[in-house]
Amino acid sequence: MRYWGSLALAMMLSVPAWGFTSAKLDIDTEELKSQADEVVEVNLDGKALEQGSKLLAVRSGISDSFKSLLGGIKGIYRLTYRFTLGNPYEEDAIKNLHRQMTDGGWAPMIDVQNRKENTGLTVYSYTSEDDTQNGITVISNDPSEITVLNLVGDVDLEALATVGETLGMPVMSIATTELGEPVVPLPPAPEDK
Amino acid sequence: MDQYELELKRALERCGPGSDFTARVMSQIRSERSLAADETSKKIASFPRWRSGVWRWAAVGAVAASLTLGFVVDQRRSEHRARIAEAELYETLLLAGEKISQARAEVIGVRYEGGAQ
Repeated sequence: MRYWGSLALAMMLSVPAWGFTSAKLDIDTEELKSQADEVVEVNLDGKALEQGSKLLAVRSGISDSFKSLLGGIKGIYRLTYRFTLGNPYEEDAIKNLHRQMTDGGWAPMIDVQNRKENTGLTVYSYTSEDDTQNGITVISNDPSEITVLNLVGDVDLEALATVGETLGMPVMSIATTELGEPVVPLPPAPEDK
Repeated sequence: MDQYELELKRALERCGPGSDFTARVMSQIRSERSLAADETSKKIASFPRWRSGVWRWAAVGAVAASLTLGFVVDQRRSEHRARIAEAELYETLLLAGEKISQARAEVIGVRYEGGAQ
């Protein structure tokens, strides 16, 4: 009886951990990967994220809200699949992505679909049982590109949207960035002040 | 007694060691000792070259230099990885911010258009 009690206690204590790890996206994108002409993957967590955040936080021009946004993020993952116009992806692939999201407990917050231009933008959030937000995922698609952005942690959506608004850059100019060679110039380093 | 037997008898005849036997044995021992001493002194003569101060400090210097080089290379790599992580983080956050902002603008636009109709 005592063992059952210990087991139940251990399970109760580990529930928040389950919820948190679920905010890291675990979806099957092999089909898209095989169809894509170009794939960009970014996986940042642990020490790499910590080091990157530290460097970014000391740059000049970084607002306090951006710094607090950085502090709340525990992991950031990006998958971008690009397709040439002669080799479009299958429509079912996008439906499959969204189905995997809802099956995984993600709730759509914003969903914008443009049937004429064949574009879509959906923002999902993941909340644990105690109603705290553990992450967001953005899935966007247009005829030549599908992007999945997964941010794990306490993500301040307002701060994130402000970052996007202040930048005022077209999405595609950022999305065409190659891994390790950013097109978007970083803010000046602290010594440049 | 034939010739063969005579020769056999002469060969098996007991004979003394000779008056200079001791001197000869002692001389042989001395020469062997001096040969062994020469070999040892040769080995000792070559060994200290490796153990002399110069070589010892050279070895210490080489180890210190390789450790320092390894540390510097590791630091550089770590710094490079951090810079890449920074760029990727910034770029991904901007992309996410742009998408969220765009989605929000679309929703506000649709609501506005809906309200205007």
